[in-house]
Amino acid sequence: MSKHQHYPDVLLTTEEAACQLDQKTHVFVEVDLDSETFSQGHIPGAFVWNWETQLRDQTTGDPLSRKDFEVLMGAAGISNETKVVLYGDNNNWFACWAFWLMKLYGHEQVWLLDGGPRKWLSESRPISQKRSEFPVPATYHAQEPNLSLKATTEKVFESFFNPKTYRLLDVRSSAEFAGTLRGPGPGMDPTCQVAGHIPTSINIPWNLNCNADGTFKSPDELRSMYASFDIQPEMNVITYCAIGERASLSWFVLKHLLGYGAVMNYSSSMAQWSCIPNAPIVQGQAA
Amino acid sequence: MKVPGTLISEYQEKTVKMAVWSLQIITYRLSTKYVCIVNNVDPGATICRESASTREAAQRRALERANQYLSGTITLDPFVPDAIEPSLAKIVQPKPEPSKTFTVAEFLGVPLQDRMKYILSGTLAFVSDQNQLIPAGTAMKLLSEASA
Repeated sequence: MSKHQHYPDVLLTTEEAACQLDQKTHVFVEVDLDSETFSQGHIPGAFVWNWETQLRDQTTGDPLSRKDFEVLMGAAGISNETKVVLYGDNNNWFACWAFWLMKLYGHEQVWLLDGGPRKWLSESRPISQKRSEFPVPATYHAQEPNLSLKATTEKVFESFFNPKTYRLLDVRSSAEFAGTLRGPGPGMDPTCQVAGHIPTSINIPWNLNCNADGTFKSPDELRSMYASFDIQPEMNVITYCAIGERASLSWFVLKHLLGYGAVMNYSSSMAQWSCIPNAPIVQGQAA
Repeated sequence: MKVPGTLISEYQEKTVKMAVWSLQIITYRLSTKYVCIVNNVDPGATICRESASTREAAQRRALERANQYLSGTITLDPFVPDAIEPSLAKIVQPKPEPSKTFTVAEFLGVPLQDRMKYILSGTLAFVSDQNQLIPAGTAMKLLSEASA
């Protein structure tokens, strides 16, 4: 069984994942917004994390505190040495948040399932509707949060005034960027108080990172795409979306697939920005 | 050792239009039932999922539910910007008194933290060389360009 052709350090192909599953060398965690997804069928032996209730502070929307993160990991039977494979609904959006959270606290051995559950299902691989065995709790010691991975409101302001060295990426759909929709597409609840985007941002929707089957594009394709928007490896890049999960996916691409140095996820994203009194917002497409 | 699980079969994907929206429909068979997942095509969020004993019934149920959610979608009119991009001439803070007026260069010379405080205070007026007010979002873009 071959390693991932392009990104062996951070992505597992479905074939590799199936093999690891058989050998029980990795812990699989499904990360969903909607827990119904997991109960209707998941990769056998996987655990589930609910993004909304388990992976962020319920009051502020911030990522988990270090202490809460240690509790989360320990309860899932994950120690500092555990190899973790993440996947989840909406083409791994929320799994990417979990990946970012784990890197924020210094977990080393973590992979994403390339293509997510859709690719797994399309290849007719096994799924289970049974609740996985309760894990044996582990002790987990998180590192101090790596704040260079997280953009604050101040950083966003800094980007306004340093356009040569900063790029602000809005990874939502063009309709959300333009301000004609306030939620992640039709059929979804609004997530922003005010429609539109943060001034000076560039719209590069998350799905431009992926092939039609949901897998990530090759390094050459991705590098070429970001270069076409004048986003260079040496720049400070801030990704944002509505609630930070799609921003985590584009952060993952820039930081871990392309190896750009200074990539930050503005995890509070438009949900927070649109609630800050007087925070400037632009409607309409960028010039 | 093989991990126990149920193999899915009859996986299908298709795209349909409902009202003005494009939807991705995924259906597959899991043991004795069929599962149907409805995603919006852009940006790709799952709207709902349903299951039933036949593919058609699962899809019908899922689309009925999706239709309910879609009917609640609020779209806002597209914003049409002015044809002429204004040019930022000065920044005025009328309150608290005494009022302050900055040129663009002066404002960019203020420490970043203070610039942020000024902007979030909501008391700044951004004025063009035609003496017209400029929306804060547009002004920020112009300030950014001036910073370059």
